[in-house]
Amino acid sequence: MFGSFDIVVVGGGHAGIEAALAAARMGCAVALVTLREDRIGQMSCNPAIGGLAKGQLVKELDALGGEMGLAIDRTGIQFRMLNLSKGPAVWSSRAQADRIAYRDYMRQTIRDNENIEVIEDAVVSVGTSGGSVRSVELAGGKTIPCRAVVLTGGTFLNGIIHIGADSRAAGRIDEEPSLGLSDQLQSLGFKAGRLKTGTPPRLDGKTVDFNVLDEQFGDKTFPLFSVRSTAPGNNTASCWITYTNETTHSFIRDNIHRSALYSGRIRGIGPRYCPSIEDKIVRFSDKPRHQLFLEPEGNGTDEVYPNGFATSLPEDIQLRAIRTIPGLESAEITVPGYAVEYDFFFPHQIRPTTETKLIDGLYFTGQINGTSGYEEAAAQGIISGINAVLKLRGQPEFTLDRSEAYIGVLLDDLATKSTEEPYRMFTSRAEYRLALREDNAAERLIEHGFRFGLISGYIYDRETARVQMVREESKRLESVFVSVGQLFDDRSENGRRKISMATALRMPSTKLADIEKHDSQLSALPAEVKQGIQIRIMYSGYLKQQEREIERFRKLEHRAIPDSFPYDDLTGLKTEAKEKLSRLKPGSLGQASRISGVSPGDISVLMVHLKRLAAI
Amino acid sequence: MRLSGPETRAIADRVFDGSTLLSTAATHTAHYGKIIDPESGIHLDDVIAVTMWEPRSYTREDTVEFSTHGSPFISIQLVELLVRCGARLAEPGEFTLRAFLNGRIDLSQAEAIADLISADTQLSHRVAMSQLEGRVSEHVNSLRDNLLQSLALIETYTDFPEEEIARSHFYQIESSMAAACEEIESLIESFECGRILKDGLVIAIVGPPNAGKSSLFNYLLDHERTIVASQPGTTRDSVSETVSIDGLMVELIDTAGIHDTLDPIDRAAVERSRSEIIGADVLIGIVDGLSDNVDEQLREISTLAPDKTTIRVLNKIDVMDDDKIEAIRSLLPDDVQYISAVTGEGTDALKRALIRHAFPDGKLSDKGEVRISSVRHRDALSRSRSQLRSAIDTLREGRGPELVAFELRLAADQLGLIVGKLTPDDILDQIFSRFCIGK
Repeated sequence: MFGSFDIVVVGGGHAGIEAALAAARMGCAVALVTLREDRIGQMSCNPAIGGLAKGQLVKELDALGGEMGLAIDRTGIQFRMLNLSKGPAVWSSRAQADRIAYRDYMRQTIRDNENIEVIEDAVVSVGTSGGSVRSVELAGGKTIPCRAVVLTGGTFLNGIIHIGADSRAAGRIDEEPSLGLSDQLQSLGFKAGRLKTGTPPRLDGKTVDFNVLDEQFGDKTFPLFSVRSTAPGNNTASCWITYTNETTHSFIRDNIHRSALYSGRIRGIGPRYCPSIEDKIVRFSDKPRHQLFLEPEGNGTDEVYPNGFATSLPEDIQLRAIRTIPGLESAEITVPGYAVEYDFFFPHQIRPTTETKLIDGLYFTGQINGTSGYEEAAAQGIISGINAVLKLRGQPEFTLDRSEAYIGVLLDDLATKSTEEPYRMFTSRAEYRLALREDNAAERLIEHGFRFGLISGYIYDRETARVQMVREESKRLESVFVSVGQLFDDRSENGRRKISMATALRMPSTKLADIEKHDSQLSALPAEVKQGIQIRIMYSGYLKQQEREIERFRKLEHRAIPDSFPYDDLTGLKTEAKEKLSRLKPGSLGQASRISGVSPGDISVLMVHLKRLAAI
Repeated sequence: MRLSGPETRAIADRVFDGSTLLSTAATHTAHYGKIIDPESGIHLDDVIAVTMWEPRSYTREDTVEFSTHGSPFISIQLVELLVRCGARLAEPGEFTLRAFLNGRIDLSQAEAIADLISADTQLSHRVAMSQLEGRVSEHVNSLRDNLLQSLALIETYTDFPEEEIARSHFYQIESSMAAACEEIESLIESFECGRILKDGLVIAIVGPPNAGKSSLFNYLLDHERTIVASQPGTTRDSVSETVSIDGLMVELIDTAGIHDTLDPIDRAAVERSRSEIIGADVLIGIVDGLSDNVDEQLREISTLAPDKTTIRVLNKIDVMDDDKIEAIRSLLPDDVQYISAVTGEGTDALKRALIRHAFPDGKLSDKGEVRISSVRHRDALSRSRSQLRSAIDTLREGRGPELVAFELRLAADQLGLIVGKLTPDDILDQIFSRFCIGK
C-alpha cells in the first residue's frame, strides 16, 4: 500500500516533472506514476531546449518557479541567442543539452523532493464519482486514492512506432506504450484524435567526417535561462551543418513507397513545421537541397543527432540515404529514425487551467493536449500543478491571458481553438509579441512565482529591484538632454540642437554604448540593466500603441459568456459559428472572437443577445 | 406594405379576406382578397398579398407583403388597421436589422442595404448595389491578402532564422507594401465620389447682391425634380432644397436667402455666409452681366473658397445684346458659363459643368469602378493606410522585422474590420504552404 496522496501525476516527461515539482513545492503529497523511473526527463527528440518562442516559454516558466531553465543552464553544452540581428522581442535563447546529464539532473531533482513518491507502473484508468476524480488504477491492480490527477501522455497513449513496413506498439523506440488508459478516458466521454511525429536516426560521431562540414559555435556571451542559476553555462560544444543533395533526393524518391508515411500505414496528422525528409522532398521538390544540423548528444558520447532528417523509411534505406550526404559518406546509424503515432485529446476539452471541463480535478497537460515540444509541455505542466493545488486549497484559479505571457497564448489557443495538428509555439502566434520578451519574463511573471512560494524571497527582491532600476533609469533618460554635436560629433548648426538621451536611443542606428559616456550614472549600471533600458526605450512608442490594443482586447475578454449559453436557440448565428460555439463553449466574448469560423457579424449577434440576457 | 415577425400569420388572417386563409397558404404565393376591418366590418381596399414564410424571406421571419392600389390615404388606413390588430410600426431600418440579426446578411451588406433604402436617386442606387454584390468586400479582401502575404514573409524571416529561405522573397516586400498602399489610397479617394453619390452634392450659390442667385436657385428648383425630405422631422431651411440633377442628388443653398436682407454692400455679409461655403462641395459664383467690372467680381468670388471648385457664371444674357456678350467673353477665362436664370438658356451647360466638377475623372458612368461609400469603411481604410506607411518607413529605416510586422498586422486588422477578421492562423497557413520549414 502507498502513502496517501493529494495529487497523482501520470507521466515523468517534461510536463509531468513541472506539474509534480510545483505541486510538491506548494506542499502537496504527490505520486508520480511513470513506466520507467530511469527515463524521467528523457528528451525523446532533439537534444536541445529553447529556440524561437520556446526560449520565451522557458523564461516564463522559470519566472513562475519551474525547473526547465535551471536544468538546461546546468546541463547545456552549447548556448546561443537566436535572431540577434532582429529586435529584442524576437531574440530567443537556445541551448544544446547533454541528453544524459539533463535526464539525470531531472531524475535527481524529483528524487530529492520529499513530497514526491515515484511509482513505476502504468495507469490504466481514472476513477471518478459524481463528476469528480477519486483515484487512479494501476496495471498492477492497485488503486491510488487521490483528490486530483494530472495526466500527461507524451507519445505513449496507444503509441505505435513505424520504421518502413515494420510497425509495433511502443511509446519510444525501446519502450512500451500506455494501453488502456486512452480507451477508458474515451469511455468517460473524452474525444480523442490521432497525431504523428517523427525523429531522425542517430549517428555514430566517430564515423562522421567533420572536417568537410561548416562548424557552428556557441555565443561568446549569453544570458542564462534561469534567474536562479548560479554557475555559468558550459559552452564548449559545436554543431555542424551539412546539406542533402539531388542524389539524396532521387534515392529517397525512388524508395518513397517504402516509407511508412507514404505507404498509407499512418493516419495520424503530423506537424507541418517539422516535416519528415520524405515530406520535404515530395512537397518542395523544387528545392535543390535541405539543410541538416548535426547536433552533439552530449559531452560524454559520440552520438550525433542529424536535425532535419526525421524519417520513417526502412533502416537500410535510411542508411543509404544518409551516406549520400557530404561528411556522412561512411556514417553508421546507432538508432534508426522512426515515426510515432499516438492518441491525444482535443484540447477544447480543457479550460485555460488545463483542468478538463468534463471531470472535476482531472488535468490534461502536455502532448496529450496535442502540443509538441518540451517547452510547450513543461509550460502547461506548471500551470496544471499550480492549479491542482489551488483547487485543493479552495483558492482562485491561476490563468494568464494572451497579453501577459506566451503561456497565456498557448493555453488560450488550446482551450479556445483546439487543434487538429501538433501545436508548436511561434512568436507570430502572439499578438502582443513586443511586450512578451525573454528579457522581461521576470518582470511580467515573477510576482506569481513568489506568491505561490515557488520563487524565493531573495530572488524575488533582487529581480523586482532590477526591474525598478530599469524603469526609473529609462524615465530619467527622457529628461537628460545632450547636444546632438556632443553625441554624434556633429559640428554643423544642427549639432547645437539638444535632444534627450532617450530620443537618441530611439534612433535606429544608436546603441546604448554610443551614448553612455555622456552620462556617468548610466555607464555605471550593470550590463543587464543597461540592456533592459535600451529595449524599454527603443520600444516605448510601439508598446504604448500596443497597450491600447491590449485594453480593447481585455474589454472583450471580460465580457463573460455563461457555460449554459443557449447557442442553439439563437437566431442570427451562422450554422458553422453555432456548431463551433456550442462545442468549444468559450468563456468570454474575446475567446469567442478568436474561434475560426466565427465572424465579427456573429460576435455582434452574440453581443446583442448577451445584452438582452443581461436585461432580463 | 410589409408585415414581418412571429405574429405575422395571425395578424394577416385577421384583416385579409380572400379565397385562401393566408396563414395556411404556401410560401411565395400571391393571393387576391379584401382588407376588412374586423371591428367595423368596413371594406378598406382590394389587395394582393404575397406570403414569404421563414426562413425564405428577407428578414428570415414570416412575412406578408400587401400591395394596395389605393391612395396614400388608404395605405395609412391599412397601417393603422394592422397596428390595431397587433402589429407595430417598424423602426427605421428594422427589417435590415432583423435580417442581420437572423444571419441573412453580414455587416457590410447590412450597411449597403441601409444605404440602398435611403438612396434617392439612380446613381446612388448603383453604388449601393455594387457594395451589396460584395464588390467592396472582394476588393478589400484581396488587398488584405496582399498584406498578409508580406506579413507571412516577414514572420517566416522572424520565426525561422535558421531556415534557408530565398532572399528573393524578401526583395519584393517593400514594393508589394507600397503597391498595396497606393491601392488603399485610391479606394479612399473613391470615397469622395461615393459620398457625393450617396449623400448628394452640396452646392452653394454665391455672388454680389442682385446677380441673380435666387433666380437661378428658383429656376433649378422649378425645372428639376424636387426631392422631399424622406425622414420626418428634418425640416429644411427655405434657402436650401434638394433636387435631382441628371440623376445626381444635389442640395442647393441659396446664400442670398440668408444674406441679402443684411447690408448688401458690406463685405461682412459675405463673411457671414462662410458656414454655407465651408459645408459646400462646389460653389456657383454668379455675377450680373450688366454690371461693371465683371472680371474683377468673378476674380473676387474665386477667392472666397480657394480650396474648392467655384464654377463662375455670368447671368442675365437674355437682356444683353450679342456684341456685348462677345466683348465680355473675350475678356473672361474660357470656363465661365453664360446663362439666363430667367429663360434657362445656358443652364444645361452649367449642369454638365457641375457634374464634371463633382467627378473630375469623368467616371460617373463607369460601372466597373469599385467605390466605397461608408464612413466606417473610409475610416478603417485611412487607419490602414497610415499604419501601412509606418510599416514601410520602419522597413526602410532598417528597424527590426518584428516592428514592421507590428505595423503591418495593425494595417491588415483595419482591413479585416471591413470584411472579416484576422487570425494568426492565416499567416501560419501561408508560411507552411509556401516554404519548406522545419528541421
